[in-house]
Amino acid sequence: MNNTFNMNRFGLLLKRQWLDFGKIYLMSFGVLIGILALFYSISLTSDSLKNISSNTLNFRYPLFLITGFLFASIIANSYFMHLGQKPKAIINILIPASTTEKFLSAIFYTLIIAIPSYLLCFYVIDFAFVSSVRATHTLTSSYNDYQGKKVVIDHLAYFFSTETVKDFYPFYYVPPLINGVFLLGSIFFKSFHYVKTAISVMIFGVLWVTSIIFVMQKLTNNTVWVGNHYWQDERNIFLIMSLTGILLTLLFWFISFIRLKEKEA
Amino acid sequence: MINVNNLNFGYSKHKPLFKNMSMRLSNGHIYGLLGKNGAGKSTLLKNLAGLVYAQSGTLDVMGYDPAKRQPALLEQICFIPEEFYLPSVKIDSYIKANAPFYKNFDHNYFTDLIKEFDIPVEQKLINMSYGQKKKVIIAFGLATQAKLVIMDEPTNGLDIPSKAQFRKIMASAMTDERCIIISTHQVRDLDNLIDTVIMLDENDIALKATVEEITAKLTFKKVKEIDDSIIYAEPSLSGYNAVMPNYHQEESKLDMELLFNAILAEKIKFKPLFS
Repeated sequence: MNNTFNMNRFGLLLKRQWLDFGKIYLMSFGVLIGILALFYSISLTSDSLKNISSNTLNFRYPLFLITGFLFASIIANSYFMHLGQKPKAIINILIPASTTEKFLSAIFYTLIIAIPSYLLCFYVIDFAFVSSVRATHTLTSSYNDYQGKKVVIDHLAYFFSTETVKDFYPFYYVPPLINGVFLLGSIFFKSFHYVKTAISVMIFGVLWVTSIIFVMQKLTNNTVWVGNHYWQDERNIFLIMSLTGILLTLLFWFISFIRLKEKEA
Repeated sequence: MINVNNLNFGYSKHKPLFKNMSMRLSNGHIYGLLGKNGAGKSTLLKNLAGLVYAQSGTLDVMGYDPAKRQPALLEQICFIPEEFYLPSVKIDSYIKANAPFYKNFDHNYFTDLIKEFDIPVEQKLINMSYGQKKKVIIAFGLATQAKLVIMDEPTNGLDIPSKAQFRKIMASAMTDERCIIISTHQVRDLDNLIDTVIMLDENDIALKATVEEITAKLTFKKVKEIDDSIIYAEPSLSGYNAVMPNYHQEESKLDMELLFNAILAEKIKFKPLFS
């Protein structure tokens, strides 16, 4: 018997975990649909559509980021929450599956299922509401680019077709990073997982940003850049940020795996 | 089946629960684990199941280190904790989700046990009483055909008829390949079931002996007056319940509660008898 990973056992574990986690997931998903539908309904009333402008659909960007963060973090933070309660922890630790399988099932539900389902949900709701707006309104503007070619901007475009969303690609590492941090929080803390994880993230975030600013100010104050232009190209900056984000995600997943392995009941 | 060597464990470094504890448990036995509150009964069971980690020493359970939590060992362990959680599903769904992990799971046996325990199968597990839930996990645990059965206070929450059913079921579940360890305070619930007594006290095993060994070396009697031959006695309505050395090979029934109190009170006097 392979005691590290077995596909059949992993499949059984996914089915079994749905019993515990499925309800949390479905409830969170239901709340998400409600919140998104509510925000779209409030923002796209007949009154607001009378004075339609290029800013009318701008509420979608903060909505997408905030609800996305909340959904991804709550789902990740709920997965191992039960390990903080001894009766639940005993039953779960003693399921005849390896720690690797248990950890991968967490990644499966909290990342592989949760993030695409969030995107799909946002896409469907956006499609439904924006289609109804597009059926009765059109709003475009245009300009000539540097080659003299006419560029038309559709201000009522579907969310995932907007230029702003296309610029999100350097931040694709963020959902797995949120997953890594909050998954670790769900194993690390015994109670009040979400609040404690959020506070920890805030403290570390503030410390990290202030220390970077402090160090960079010390290093660069009253200096002139004489090196090559590598660090002046935003693509390189985004690349380094993405690589750092990916490394941090892998680190958080690794620590979560070790904590899961060492978890006592 | 189980080898414990120089086990050291404590929830904090300054308060050790076990100091260099060693013991060997074999299959084909029902061990009764006794001890005062806080003596470490549940903790010892958790060590055996790999739920907590020893500070030092080695644990060998069926050739595996329980701390590694390997599926091959986990499917051979049936652990019935004192406090447990069952999801909000019906028995059928619970079985569908959990039974496939145990390749020897006996569905017919499970159904028989559920019938015998008179469990309402249509009810959701979460809506059942504590006793009913306990019967479900006992039935599930036994149906896994696990070789190591660990039960922490299994009769807590069971009504009087259920306790009798439990004794009957456990007696029939015992096979030569199985090792059953039951931790309990309710010694009278299980005194006909247990064949070996393990008593924990002061960070170690105060006694580990079969019922036959105990009754061969000690006799349990009701006496009118106390004399020097009595190691330990407790007043009763008609005199005293006493424990004394069995010099004349008399047959007596082991009074586990009396033995427990006697060992705790007169440990030094008992030590030479069972060393």
